[in-house]
Amino acid sequence: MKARLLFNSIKNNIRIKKYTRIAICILLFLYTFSIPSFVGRNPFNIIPYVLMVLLILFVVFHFVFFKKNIQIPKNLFIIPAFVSWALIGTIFYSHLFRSWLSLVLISITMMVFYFSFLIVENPFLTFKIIVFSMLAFSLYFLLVYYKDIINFKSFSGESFRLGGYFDNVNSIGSYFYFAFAFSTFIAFFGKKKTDPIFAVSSALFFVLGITTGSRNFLLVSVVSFFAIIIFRYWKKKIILLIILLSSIIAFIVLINLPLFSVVKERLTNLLNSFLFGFGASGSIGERSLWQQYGIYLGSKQMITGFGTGGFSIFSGVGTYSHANYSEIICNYGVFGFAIYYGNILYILYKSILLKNRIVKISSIFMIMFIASSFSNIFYTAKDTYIVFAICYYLINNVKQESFELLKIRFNKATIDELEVVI
Amino acid sequence: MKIFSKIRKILMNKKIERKDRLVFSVLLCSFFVVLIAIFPTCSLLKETKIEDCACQMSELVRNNTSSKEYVSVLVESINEDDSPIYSPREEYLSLHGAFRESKITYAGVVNANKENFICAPEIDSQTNLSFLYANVFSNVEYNNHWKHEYYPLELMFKGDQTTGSRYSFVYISQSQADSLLNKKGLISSEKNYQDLIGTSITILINSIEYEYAISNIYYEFNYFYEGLHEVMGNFMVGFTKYPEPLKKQACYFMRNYEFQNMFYMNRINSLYPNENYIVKVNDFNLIDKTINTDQYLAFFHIKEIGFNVLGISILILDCIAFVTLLSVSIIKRINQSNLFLLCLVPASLVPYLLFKFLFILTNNVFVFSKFATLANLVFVIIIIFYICFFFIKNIRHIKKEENESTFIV
Repeated sequence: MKARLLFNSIKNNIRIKKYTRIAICILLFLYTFSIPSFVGRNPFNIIPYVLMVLLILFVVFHFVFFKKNIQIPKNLFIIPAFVSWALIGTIFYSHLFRSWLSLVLISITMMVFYFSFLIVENPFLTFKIIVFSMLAFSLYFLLVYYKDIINFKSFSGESFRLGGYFDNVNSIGSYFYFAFAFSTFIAFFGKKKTDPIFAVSSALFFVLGITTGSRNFLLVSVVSFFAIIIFRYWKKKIILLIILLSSIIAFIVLINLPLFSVVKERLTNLLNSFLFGFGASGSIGERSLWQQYGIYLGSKQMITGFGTGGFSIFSGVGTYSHANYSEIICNYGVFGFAIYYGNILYILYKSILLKNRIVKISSIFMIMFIASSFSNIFYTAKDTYIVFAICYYLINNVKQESFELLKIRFNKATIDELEVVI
Repeated sequence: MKIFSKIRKILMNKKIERKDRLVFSVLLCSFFVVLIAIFPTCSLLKETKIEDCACQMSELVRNNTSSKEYVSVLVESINEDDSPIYSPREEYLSLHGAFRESKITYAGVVNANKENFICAPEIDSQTNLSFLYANVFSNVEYNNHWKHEYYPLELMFKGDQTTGSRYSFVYISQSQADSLLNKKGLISSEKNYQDLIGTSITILINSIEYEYAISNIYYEFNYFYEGLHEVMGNFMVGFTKYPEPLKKQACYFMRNYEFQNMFYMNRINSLYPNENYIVKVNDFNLIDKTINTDQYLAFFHIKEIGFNVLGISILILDCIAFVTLLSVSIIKRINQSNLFLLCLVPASLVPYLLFKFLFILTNNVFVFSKFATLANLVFVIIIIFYICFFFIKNIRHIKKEENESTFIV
């Protein structure tokens, strides 16, 4: 009886609901900050786990007391289905159950984030939480590396790759390109007059991302920028053309400055390995070779794949294949590949169909994933599943607004005028 | 029971008319045949023959070496002036790290297969020596000692290749240096090692004496030394000039991984494309040296181009047939039947499973070659996406019809 009374009193307490929501926002901020800051540093790598446990507790608390109908959409089970499939190859071949368990935890993280975003209920607020957490990380990054960054010569030197203090420099690069994408999206798609200020944070993330020396960062951030511009100004072709041309010219001019000579070399190497299969000096591109190797192994074990970490064990190379698509084919076979990339194509398809500007970020992220598939492994990265959670939240909960409601809201007469607004 | 009826309803979403039953069956059988045909077709290709050699090489490494690490393949030029061996520096740097795990991939060597007798009587008159040769000796600092400019061979001193005659210098191993010092009644100390540098050493090459200057001493540790020592025993390091009949050899380290071996074999074929070169399997580290190694070298300059062209032609026809079948299934609207989509799953997977089973039984690469499995992979991925796309579309159509019929009621 007393428990029931307590339950009802909490349930009807709007203040507790509000504070729970605030707590979840704070935990989202802290968790997103903790991933790049601590995940690669012993013994601090326990911090993200602690924050995740707290987040789970608050989310469960909120849902138990304040949510009436909990509907779990079917598409949320695509990633768990992929993880379940991954177990088969792991059982029969690689036996790396610890790595498989990391995938399980990552998929749970995705679910927790999905429900957290449901509680936050405001997509732009979610994006801003992520951007501010990455700004906090950028501040931390600057504190650690301010000497190297101030000394501009290090940009064109041999060893200018920053970020090793936190984690693998390519992983740090990936955090920066997600932050860049979020920030640029807010700057171009935000509804408030102050949102264009986020272009400044975009510039910061871009510069810091370059200091990691990650070729994947360069490629994906450029792709995301162009995708955002195209989605934003698709109806205004002249503005789109002007922005695209000036961006390309600015990029070519910047990349040819002596300051960015190493960046240019790394980008040239990347393009050469894509187009010709070898680096600028004529040496064999390891990465394109390992991609071929991954596909070769995957084709020999097409149904189940070799399991988590299979490429590393069965290739004799001792590391991953450096391309997401070949790693998935090798480790999880053709069905694992179909589930994972089917998921990406599904989100892309749904987000393009939905006529709502905010959902376009899902399309942009899927395009980024497709671009990144050839130069990076992202299916084991935590930030990937935060992005998937956002995408699922948007496509499941942000509805296409009806024409009549849009007319009333925006006071526009025709569908063309409305589409301009949207 | 409700679930079964629902499944039945989904599978029987479209009634197959009598006239379409033939198309239904023919399409399924055709998919099956197209996917099965890939395997014998690809057995005709040149790449499959190389893959077969690579697999046999892997077996040789696994079954006929004590360490199960390497078997070396040597490439020699018949006439070095007309057809030189590729620069060891360029080739080593190209291949180093190709397959990352710290294993040796390539070295420029001389007398690795011990066809000639080379010894240093002052050290040991019985041991047949080989040479590791290099064209650059700008040694670099490394961990309080030195390292060769590109080979990861660790050295005691910086080394001065102009000691003595410009070309007649060698780097000897620490054991060889110890042996020299021992014979002189000296202990092995840094000073004594240093004193050895610049002294001359007599090397017998097929009983002819040559004077070399000792220019450096290398350490006998790390994966590079161990790999070299495994495939050619004791060696010295020298420059690029050697008296007749010694010849420079490009030494590729084959391993227990078929893909890696295929890569090296294709590399050999591309760098040494004409008949002025010969390849040999170096049997120094083989347990059974009497085996015929010619079968492992069949990858070199495959001449049967006719079968390759035939194989490629049939493969192209196969691809065209596959695309045609997909198009026909869409045009004839057979894809609207979920039963057809379901039957397509075994039709596309059974050929692969069949040939995989055959491969496990026979261990013959020709029934399960790289090109066949790759082509099969691509076709199956396309089929899976095709099935998923139309299956979801059909389900939506069923739901729409259900909603409409409910509304009418």
